[in-house]
Amino acid sequence: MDNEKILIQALEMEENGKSVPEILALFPEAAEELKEMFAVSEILAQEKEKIMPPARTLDKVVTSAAMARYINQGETKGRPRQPINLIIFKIMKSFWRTVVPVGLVAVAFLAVVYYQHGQTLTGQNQSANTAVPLKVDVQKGKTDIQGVDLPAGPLTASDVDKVANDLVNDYASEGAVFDEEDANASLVTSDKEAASELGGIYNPNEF
Amino acid sequence: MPGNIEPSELLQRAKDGDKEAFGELYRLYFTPIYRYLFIRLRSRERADDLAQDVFLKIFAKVETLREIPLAPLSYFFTVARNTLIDFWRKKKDLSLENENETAAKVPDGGADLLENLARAEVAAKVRQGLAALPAEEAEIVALKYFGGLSAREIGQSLGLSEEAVRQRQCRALKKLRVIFK
Repeated sequence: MDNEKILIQALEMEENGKSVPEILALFPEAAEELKEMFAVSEILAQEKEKIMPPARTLDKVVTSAAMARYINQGETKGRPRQPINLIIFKIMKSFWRTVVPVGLVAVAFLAVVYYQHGQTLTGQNQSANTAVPLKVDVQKGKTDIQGVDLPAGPLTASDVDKVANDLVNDYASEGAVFDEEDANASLVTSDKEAASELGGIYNPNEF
Repeated sequence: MPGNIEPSELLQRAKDGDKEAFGELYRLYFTPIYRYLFIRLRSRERADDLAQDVFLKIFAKVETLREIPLAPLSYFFTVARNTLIDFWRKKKDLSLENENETAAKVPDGGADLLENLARAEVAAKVRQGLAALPAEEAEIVALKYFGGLSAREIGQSLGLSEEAVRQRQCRALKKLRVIFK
């Protein structure tokens, strides 16, 4: 068996709990090399022992373990587990115990105000956009549109045509009135222009 | 919590929401993981931060584990290695400003100066030796001698057979022997 195989086997034995003298006794032909290898292992093992986590880290471990114990306390004693929000509240520092509830109330208040404001705006928009329904009193043959009447009794297709025609005529006559007003306005404008022109050519010293 | 519960059982309990079981795992594994990270980083502060990260990562996803690893220590070290690799990737320009930071704290007054010097010298030699090793061998030495993992656990973590791990361990020790002389 070559030395490397012996060294590998020795490492396995050491890991399985055999002492170094026992291993050396098993492989006398490689004893020197084994001694040097185990000396290196020993140096590394000693160096490992010198490395310890900082005290504050150990504190964190203890704190987290204590916190875990606190959280599980209810179950350990047979009581139901406390709600997580209550646990968080108990763990919080006094500053946050004040700030967090106040903040939550403020957020809720703002949310309500915002919601109500939104509702008001929506209501206004709806009233602006909603068409007023046409009121029709079939029995009396009346509508709420001025000048448009219906015959009394049940409505027929010809009645609907009549109402439509009345409405069209009504809008047509209104259009005619608007046209007439426009014509009058243009006449006034042309009169003003004529007067202005006359003023421009009139010379009082001429006569 | 009694201390004779198997780590895999503790991990199962932690998965089921038992915070105290996770606290016990923390207590069991923090020091080996811290030592491993320290020897790889040579910085107390970084080792501390990364060790905390390792436990926070595991704590965050322990409840979503599909199955409990048979060797929880290997699992923790796999997370530690990935955390370390991520750290190195982010800090490619990782300077060795703390290179002279020794593992041992200087003892209080009255300690033997020569002994302290000898300790610092040994620490420097170990550091020098690990830096001189190929990456895989250095990793195996760190996991074996500072993390306390067995060859089988190292193999699981690195994807190597037990035999291959011992072979590399043996070669690394031979090289270190030359450096320590």
